[in-house]
Amino acid sequence: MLVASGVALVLGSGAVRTGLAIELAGLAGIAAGFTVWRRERKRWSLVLAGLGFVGCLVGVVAFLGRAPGPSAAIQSLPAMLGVPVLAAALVPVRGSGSRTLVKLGVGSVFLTVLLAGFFRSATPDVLLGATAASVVAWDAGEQAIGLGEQLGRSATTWQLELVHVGATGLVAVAAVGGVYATRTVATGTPSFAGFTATAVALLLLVVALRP
Amino acid sequence: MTDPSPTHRWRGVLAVTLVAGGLALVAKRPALLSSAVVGVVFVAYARVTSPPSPALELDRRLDEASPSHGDQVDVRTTVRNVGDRTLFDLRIVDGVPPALAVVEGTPRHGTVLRPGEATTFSYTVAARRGRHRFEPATVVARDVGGSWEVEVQIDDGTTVDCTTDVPAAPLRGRTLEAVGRVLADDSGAGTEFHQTREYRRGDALSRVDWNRYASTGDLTTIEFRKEQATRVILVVDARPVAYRAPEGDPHAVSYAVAAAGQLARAIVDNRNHVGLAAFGREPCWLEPGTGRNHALRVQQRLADHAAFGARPPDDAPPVADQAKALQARLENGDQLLVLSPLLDDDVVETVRRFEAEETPVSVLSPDVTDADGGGRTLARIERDHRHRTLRRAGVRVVDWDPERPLSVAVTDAMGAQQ
Repeated sequence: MLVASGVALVLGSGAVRTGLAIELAGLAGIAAGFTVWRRERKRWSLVLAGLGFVGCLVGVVAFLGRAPGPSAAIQSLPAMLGVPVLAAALVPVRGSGSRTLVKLGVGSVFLTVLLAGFFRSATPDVLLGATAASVVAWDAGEQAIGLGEQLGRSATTWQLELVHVGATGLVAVAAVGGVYATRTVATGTPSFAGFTATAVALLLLVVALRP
Repeated sequence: MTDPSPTHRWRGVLAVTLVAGGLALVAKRPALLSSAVVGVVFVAYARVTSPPSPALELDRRLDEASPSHGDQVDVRTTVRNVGDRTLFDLRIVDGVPPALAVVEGTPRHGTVLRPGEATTFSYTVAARRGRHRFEPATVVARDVGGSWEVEVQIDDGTTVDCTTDVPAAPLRGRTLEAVGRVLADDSGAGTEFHQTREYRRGDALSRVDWNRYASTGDLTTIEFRKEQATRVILVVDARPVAYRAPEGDPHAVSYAVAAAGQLARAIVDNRNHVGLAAFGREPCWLEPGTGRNHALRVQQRLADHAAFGARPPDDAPPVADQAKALQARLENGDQLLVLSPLLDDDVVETVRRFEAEETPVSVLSPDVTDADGGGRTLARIERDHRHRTLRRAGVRVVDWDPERPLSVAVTDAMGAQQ
């Protein structure tokens, strides 16, 4: 989740940064609330979580109010909403977390990446990093929920999770590094035919790799 | 080990990559194309990892293998990777016996194991009366990317033995307090002193009580008891209805199976023959025999025969048919010891039918009804009624509250009868 938020912070304009910072503070409040809840101090936990929730709302509203224009607002809104959804997916409000919410949260963040790419509102390097980071965030979230389902909350799993996320992170770094290196080496803008051929080849490769 | 199955968890990334690539192509956005390349690398990563082939060894240590009822037993489970490849994602769920509750820690663990490396985790269970065999631990292994999954079961056959020796089985017999022994009708047989009587012509000289002759001058002959073994068939009621239990407690079959193991031991210790049968999902028959080894055979059969499985069967053949099959195996003079919670009328009817055909039956009935709750109370009243019905038919019924040792229940019941 921190990864995804970091990405959004880097990706966003000033308004997004302010809004997201407030939102993250709100989420921290909610998280603190749940920690207290588990220590059986119900009243304090409700106060903290309530403050956190208000913080999140203020963050979204602040962002919408200060957004440079409707286009920027539409582009960044999914990410603003996606981060708290991802957080909600991992907090075991009911049961051991929800895969659907992880998908929804990361999906929303990625939608912002797609929109930013489409409207050319972010540099290619930022897009690259954001894509890789959202995949890592999804992978870590999904893995954590799977472990929660199979082993429960009290089992020790940090070693396993660390290795898994570490491996995914390495792949992400390799992918980003590879693409970055290729782009640095390549000179000039590709011709339309060249671009199309590359894109089609890529899509065919994806289909071929289909598990 | 199950075959590796794909988890398909990277499918979403594949779809997102297609969307990004498609959008890049349609809108001619090179930046999005490079995002799609990142996606392709992840999909390829999921594709190139190979399924794990875990080779594991399990070692389970109990701090007390024969605890008392209610004791807390610490279990330390060690799993070692004996293969030659690193296992990146191991999820271990230890096979705690279904009747035992974990009171501290968790029997589940997730870790990474390099070749030769071992991991240990521990938890605490509360011991309950009976012999409880640990089930195999289930291990789910995934490759590093999580795209393949393999499930293995590893076992070391640990058993928690929370039983006490039972002095004698509650049996019916010609002689109740000394089961299976009848008076000698010809002198010379047997080893146990019975009585002396006046010397008669033809008595063996070795049986004359010479000490008495020396002191009083009377010729007397010593008589011994002749021992005649009784064949006792333990019948465990393991039909679906018997798998009932109060919330959170072991079911009646687990108590009956534990009790049967103890009784088999007691019966052979009193030099009788013991056999084993079941009313349950499938027929079970162990020919009566005697000796400690045979008692072990009975206990082994109780531990691994499908009829006594820890989980209730979906279905079982009618008890009347099973009783008929059992009747066909009985010899004249055999007696039955039925272990049943008496939770339905069929078993009562079956016992009465055996009794009517002159097979003496005793019933040991673990009480799994619960005092609180309306439905449970009704079950308890019905069970009491069944006890009375059986006693009226001449059947000996031992009511056993599993919270108390079996030996106490049996001794009490035998005392009450005498």
